[in-house]
Amino acid sequence: MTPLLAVRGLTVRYGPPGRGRPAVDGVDLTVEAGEIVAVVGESGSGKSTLAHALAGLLPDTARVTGGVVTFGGERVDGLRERAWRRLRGRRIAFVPQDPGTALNPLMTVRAQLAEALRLTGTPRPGEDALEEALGRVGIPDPAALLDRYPHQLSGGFRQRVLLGMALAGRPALLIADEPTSALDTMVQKTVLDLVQKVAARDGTSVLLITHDLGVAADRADRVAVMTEGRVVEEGPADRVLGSPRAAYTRLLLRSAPQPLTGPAPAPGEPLLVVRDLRKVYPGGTIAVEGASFTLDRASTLGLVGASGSGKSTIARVVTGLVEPTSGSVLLDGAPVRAGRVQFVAQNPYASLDPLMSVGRIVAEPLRALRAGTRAERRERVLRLLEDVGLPPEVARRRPSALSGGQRQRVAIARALAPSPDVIVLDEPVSALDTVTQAQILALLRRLQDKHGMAYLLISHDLAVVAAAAERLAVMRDGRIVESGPTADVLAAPAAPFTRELLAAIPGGPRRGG
Amino acid sequence: MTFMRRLGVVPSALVLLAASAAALAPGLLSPADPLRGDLTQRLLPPGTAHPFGTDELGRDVFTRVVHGSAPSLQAAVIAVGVAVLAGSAIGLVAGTARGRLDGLVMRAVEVLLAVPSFLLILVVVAVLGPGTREVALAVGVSAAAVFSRVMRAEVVRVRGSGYVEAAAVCGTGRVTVLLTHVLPNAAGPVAALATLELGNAVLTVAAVSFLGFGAPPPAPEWGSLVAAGRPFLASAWWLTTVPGLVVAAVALAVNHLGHVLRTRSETR
Amino acid sequence: MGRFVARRLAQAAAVVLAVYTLTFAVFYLLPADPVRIMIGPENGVDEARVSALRAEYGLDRPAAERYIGGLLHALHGDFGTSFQTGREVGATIAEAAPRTLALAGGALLLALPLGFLIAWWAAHTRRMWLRRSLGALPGLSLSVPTFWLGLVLLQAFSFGLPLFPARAEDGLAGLVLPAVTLAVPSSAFVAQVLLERLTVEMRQPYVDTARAKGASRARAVTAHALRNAAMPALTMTALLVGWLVSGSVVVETVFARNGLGRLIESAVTTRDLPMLQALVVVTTAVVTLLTLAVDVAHPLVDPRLRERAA
Repeated sequence: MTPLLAVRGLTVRYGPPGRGRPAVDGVDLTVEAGEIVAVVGESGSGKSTLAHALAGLLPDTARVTGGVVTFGGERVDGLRERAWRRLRGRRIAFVPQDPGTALNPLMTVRAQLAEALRLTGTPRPGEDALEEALGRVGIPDPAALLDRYPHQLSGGFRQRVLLGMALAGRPALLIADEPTSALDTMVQKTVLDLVQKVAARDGTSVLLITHDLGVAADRADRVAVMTEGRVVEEGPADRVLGSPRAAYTRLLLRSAPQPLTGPAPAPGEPLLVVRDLRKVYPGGTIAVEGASFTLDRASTLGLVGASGSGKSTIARVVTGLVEPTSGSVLLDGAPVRAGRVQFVAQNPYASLDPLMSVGRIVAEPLRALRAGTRAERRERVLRLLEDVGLPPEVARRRPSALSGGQRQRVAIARALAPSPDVIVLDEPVSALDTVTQAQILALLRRLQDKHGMAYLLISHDLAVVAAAAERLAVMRDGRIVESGPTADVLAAPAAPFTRELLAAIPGGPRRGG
Repeated sequence: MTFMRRLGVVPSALVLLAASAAALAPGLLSPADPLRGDLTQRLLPPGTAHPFGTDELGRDVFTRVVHGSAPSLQAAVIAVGVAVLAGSAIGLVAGTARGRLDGLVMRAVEVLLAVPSFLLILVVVAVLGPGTREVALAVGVSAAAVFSRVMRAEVVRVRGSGYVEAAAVCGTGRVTVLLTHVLPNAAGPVAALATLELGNAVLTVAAVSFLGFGAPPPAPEWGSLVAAGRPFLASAWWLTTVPGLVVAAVALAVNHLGHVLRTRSETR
Repeated sequence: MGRFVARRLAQAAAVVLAVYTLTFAVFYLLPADPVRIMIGPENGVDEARVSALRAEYGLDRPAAERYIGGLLHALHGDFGTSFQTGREVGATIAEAAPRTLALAGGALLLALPLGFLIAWWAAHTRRMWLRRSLGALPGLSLSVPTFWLGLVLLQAFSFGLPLFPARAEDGLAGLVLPAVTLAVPSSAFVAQVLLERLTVEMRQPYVDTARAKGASRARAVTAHALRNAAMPALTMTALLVGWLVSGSVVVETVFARNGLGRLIESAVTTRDLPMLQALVVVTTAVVTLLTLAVDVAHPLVDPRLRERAA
């Protein structure tokens, strides 16, 4: 039996031929009917270009320069636009990455869904056809949703509408490009459950593009691992993740955050004490409602919660960027003095001045505190760069010449410069790839062992917090709903919210062990 | 950079070079007197002796175009200078002060922007009277509002950026933040706008001069040269066509180089 | 929605009032004497004549009285009498306006479809050279001086090929060349703004979604991207009307047409301050009202703004 989709030696290039490495470089891939295949890779691995190429949706700057693609036994590489149009929607469906921008903001759900039905062969879709299409993707009250605009829907519902449109033509293959990476962990779970259910019910094959090994492990029959434009390993999901053959797959697996194990740490000496913190923003939004916690010397406290839970406001209050409405923040029993609490922000692309050299960036807190002479400062900058694992010549470069991981190292070096007691890490790795993420977390651990500062680690990702913090606090709607030693909370979560959070981590059982 | 675009850079640079040379040392390019004509050589079409032809008084049009460069280009440069300096200062004050002063200043800017800019220029010319410097000032004043708006937006953007936040956590003082982070980062877009505005100013100055509000008659200016050739539109086409082509070439060169510079700084 | 419109109306009124105040201040409150501005620096000053003129135009009355009085009259369409002709300013403007409006309307009628076509085609085509050439077109036409373009058109199509009259006042034939002259830069403005937005919108994932549903590229551009890109172009069009009125100064001079542009030009030349002030205030008011209309229309197109406006 011929496979539904067979890709042999597919090569895609951006820009003029012969210059640089192709984005997709001789990829082989097979999707059988009714199968879910996951393509796993980090950003820049070419997985998204592959997805677009297979849907005939490459941007104008990209071109297929080699390989053979057959779909349902017929060649589709090199098809003209007109022929692609007959395939897209009816035979091959595509769901793009970010549900926030993947729907036309000016059109109602009805208009966009009706367009999808019209284009796939229902000339005048009636009310029942529209409602049925939404019902199929688990939308409980389709009639109420039809006349809404995309911005009136939550991310999860937008993704369902997108799925509903994609499946409207009963396609044989659904290509989903990171369908859930922009969603909260719990919404991600429901959307992926739905994809799996619909695929099983209709016999639709799914090509699932993801950066998350856990997602691939949970959902896919077979997994292809991509890096630098090539598929380095392909096979049944259990085999690839259970006994990986390629070095890169092993690296990826090793890099997935592992929860800390071992006995709960003995209570240490309290360093940062936050009491009854409350923050109401002008306009009445209550961001934090009576949060209290203690950070011990040379320890790490993880603060975990969904977006909007108030955890970032806590970071801003502790670093002095925002005045609390009430409550106290005391360091060694006294108000925080300049330089004692430092900050590493989420986005390493925004937190470094693009016009400054790395050397000047790292020296900024030293200049602000008027510490040492110019020569001493230069000396200290080089030592700090060495500490964070960057070569000295980086000092002369500008941030734009660095990768995301390198930039985050620079931000850490800057935070380290005044030898602070506490570093607040606000989502320090959420913008980074899995491998880089593991490297940065390891670096943070090493620096803590060497210099003995305490970390307040803030993240939406329970897996990251569990891998790095010996104690954690779970936040919801501005309140701390649970806190304690990480191992205890993971083993026996008390709050229902924590339990939901825990259950939604992809790849949970395999890694949690 | 694409091939086409690279192709345009060299001619654009040459045009600008020639125009600047004409403005700085007109005698070098054309030693003749732009004001004195030879009545036996009236209305000659372009030829070897007179590359741009001669006018109704037998004056060499090439010489007049060359000598018209200085006032025409000076006015454009001064206009952009006034706009950049005044506009940036206003925008900087508004962006750093925030609150009520910001609101007040930006309302005032909004009022200036509500008046079509060419009309605003003519109002200022009506008050100041005609003349090259007056026109330059008028064009500058009318463009300043846009610069102040861009500068303010940049200051607000940079002040909200992650690196300014980081500087605040480091304990860097407000003035230092302004000088080391805000100003340098806000300068880029303002400079980009300035290159755009320069091409515009060349055209606007020429248009105002064409209407007769530039330097008074015998003195040559690009715009007034075109105006002076109007009565001979049917018989001596070169009197209007050639100086107009020069204005177009310079404007195109400035715009093109500005565009290349902007895209290069954006992609960097 | 009603409150949104009311607030925007109040803002627009404040802007027009501010422009009236500003021109009043610049013309009559600066140390420079308006009568002297009117006579011009180049003419000798005869003190007796200056005070006679001042009395004639009522400039000897206190500034506050003149400001309030002028404002009240202006609200009734009475902008005083011209320094130059002694005729009523309002009537003179009303007489000249239709010709300029015909010119501006003709230019818009040509420029809007042309600008849309250029931008749409550049966004739609997959041929890189065509897209680049179309994209370069607006910048090219904006580098051509309007006054010169008019003269070149005259040379070519009135003197070279006698297709159109060189100085016909009325009728469609006389309108063609001036309207084309103004339409070239206007279409460039429209195309530039629209293409810039379209390029951004074409990269949005919702365009991919539309094409993934099976929509053609033309449909993705027209029904999806263009819809999202149209609003800035519409705002641009409102501003364009102001540009066209001030641009008519040059074009009406080139083609020897009478209209608002010529009126502005002669008001500046003769320093006819009441005339100039009225022209500025009226033009600004028109532009402000058009911008307001676009702003109010904005929420009708964009549901996200509808909620904010409500």
